[in-house]
Amino acid sequence: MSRSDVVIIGSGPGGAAAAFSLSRAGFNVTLLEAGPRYRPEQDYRLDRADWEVRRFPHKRSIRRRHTHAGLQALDTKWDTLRSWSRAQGRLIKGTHRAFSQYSHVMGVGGSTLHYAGESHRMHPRAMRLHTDFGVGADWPIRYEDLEQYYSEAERIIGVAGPEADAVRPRSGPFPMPAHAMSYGSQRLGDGCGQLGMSWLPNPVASASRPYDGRPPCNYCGQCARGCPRFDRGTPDLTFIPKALAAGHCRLQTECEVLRLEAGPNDRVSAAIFVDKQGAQHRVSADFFVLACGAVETPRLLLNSASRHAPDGLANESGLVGKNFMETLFFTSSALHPEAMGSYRGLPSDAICWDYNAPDAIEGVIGGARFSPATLEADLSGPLNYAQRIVGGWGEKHHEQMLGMFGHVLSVGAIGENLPNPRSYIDLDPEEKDTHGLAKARIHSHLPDMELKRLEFMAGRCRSILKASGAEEPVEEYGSYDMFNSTHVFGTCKMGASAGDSVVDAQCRSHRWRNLLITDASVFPSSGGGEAPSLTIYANALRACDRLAADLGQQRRVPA
Amino acid sequence: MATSTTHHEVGKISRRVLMRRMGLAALTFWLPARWSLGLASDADPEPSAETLRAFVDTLLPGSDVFPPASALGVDRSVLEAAQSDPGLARLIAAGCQWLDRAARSMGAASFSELSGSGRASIISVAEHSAERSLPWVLFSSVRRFSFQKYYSAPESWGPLAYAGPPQPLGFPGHDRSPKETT
Repeated sequence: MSRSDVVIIGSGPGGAAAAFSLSRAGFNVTLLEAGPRYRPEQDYRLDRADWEVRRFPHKRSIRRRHTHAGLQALDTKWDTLRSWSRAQGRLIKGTHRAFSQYSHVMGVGGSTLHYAGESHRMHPRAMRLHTDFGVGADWPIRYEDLEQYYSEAERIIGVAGPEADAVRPRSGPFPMPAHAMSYGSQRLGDGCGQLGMSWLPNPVASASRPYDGRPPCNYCGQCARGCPRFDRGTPDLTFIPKALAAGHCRLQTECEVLRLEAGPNDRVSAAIFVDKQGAQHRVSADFFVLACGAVETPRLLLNSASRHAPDGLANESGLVGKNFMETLFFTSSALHPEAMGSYRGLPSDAICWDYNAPDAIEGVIGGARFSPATLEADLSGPLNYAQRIVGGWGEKHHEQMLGMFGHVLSVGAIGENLPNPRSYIDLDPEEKDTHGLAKARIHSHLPDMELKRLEFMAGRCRSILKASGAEEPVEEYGSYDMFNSTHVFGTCKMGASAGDSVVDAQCRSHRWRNLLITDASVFPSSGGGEAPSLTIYANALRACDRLAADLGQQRRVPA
Repeated sequence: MATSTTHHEVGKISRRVLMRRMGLAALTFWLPARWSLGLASDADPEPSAETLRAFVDTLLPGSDVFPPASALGVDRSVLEAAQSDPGLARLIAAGCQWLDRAARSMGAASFSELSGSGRASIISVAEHSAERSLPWVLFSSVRRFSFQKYYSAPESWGPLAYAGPPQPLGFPGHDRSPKETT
């Protein structure tokens, strides 16, 4: 058995920032990651001719770790939200919403390894949904509590962004100037201008100039397949090397935690994990930080039920796994008569925040944001155009390829997803993983409020495209008829009261005081489309700053 | 090249007429979900390389700007893949037989001997056949595979003014019209 001051489980944004914060403060940290390390120059082969056939090169499959419950029936009144493509017709053929994927990477850096680098601060008003609008839940902290940590995280990962943000007050400028928008995004900006909508550079953790030893981005647009250039500020290149350099952090990869042991004195005593060779280990610590994402974190807690925690660890409120919030999205693509070369540039290099506030969309509570999405739609090269947009075969196919390739513009919207009782994570009573542990089971339901918001998002996407001159729709897809989530939240909600939350404002379990959770499962609300990674970093830095202060205080007290 | 040889010119023919000539039975025998399991036999025929080449070159023909699929080795890639996939091997072999049989019903000695329009008529029948029937599975599988191989070859990118792959150069002129950067 080994021992550390702190054991951190998961090396995505929440775990990496915690490791950095605590090792910097001088605490011995063991960082356990279930997945392997990725080697950008070897694993992300965007220099190969067949690059487009390959997506992100997952080394461990998340799909074997979760199942899903049946999803809701589709209703013809929402048919305008159905997913379809010009070449393939309706993408979801059945009568019920389909489960596409929970998109999650197991590896050092977590799901940021295939992200576009969007680095957003929460809209301050999206953190007060219950008080101001009577829906969802409030955050027990304010935007102001996060601001200094937002700034620190932006410096560490290297965010390039615009100068001003009237809604989200900043204590300083972004570390790097914003990237130039791609040609296609500029045309979408023209369309937004015609509609009276703003269109600003999107803050991204991608270098616009040499930064902290990283080269600037060269706009290949394939962030989702993994960046081989080291220019994107993922935790494996930023927080984790800095944590290791501090000399107090030990990273152990391919070590999967099976359960946490609860002691009789309301303290977690150890983590039990298996290594790559299958050997089982037990590591004890003063503190445990859990950061596995809003599906795996509740799964681990529920699988850690014991006589001291019969309903699952930290589940005294019964809320572990509840309040599951998913990625509510809609993407629309249309042909522009002019060649755009729209496969070039940073994904989501621009953003419209006009409808991001919780009351910005008439008739619903909860906002949304709009961005270019050609690259998220993966209209990235000739093969995707051939299969999904052009279709057909023979001479006509070739003629249409000449007329369409690089002409598609896409706009994507991501919106608030309010919690509801039918969206939650529990343990599948039937399905076990290779270790005999119950898999997580994802339950998802979209009530009418979500579908109305989605309807607004779809309408705006189409309007932007049309105003930009892209008038022939070729593909649309969204959350209405398929579950497809990368950003997930809420399953270990943070709150002031032990009765209606899992962790307190310092991300510590109300009962198990040496257990912290620092991933997006603690988010009480999703925000109006903000990408969560920057808030995860900032919140983890904040919680661990406080933990380090408390631990330091204890160490200074004479025995 | 085989795809341009037209020993047996057959004019354009409607799908309905073609189906009648070939006999509906040949088009509608249903296969199980895993197609390959349905054709196991002790004497699987060898796929006709000529027929397969003509097939992929009809799906992705040569033109003033585009090379034909066979020039990029697409047909050879299919055969190579079939060597390590018995199910695919059986599909290709049976599919080539079906294509040749369809061509004979139109008066040609084989699929590769047909004119371009004749081959296109047969492929159109396959495309619109019942899902999971041999012709439909053949069309869907070989088309998907051929597209992947064809558009993974840089020779197919030139006509599209695509300056890939994405790395190592990226797209430094991303903020300007492609007309200015190509």
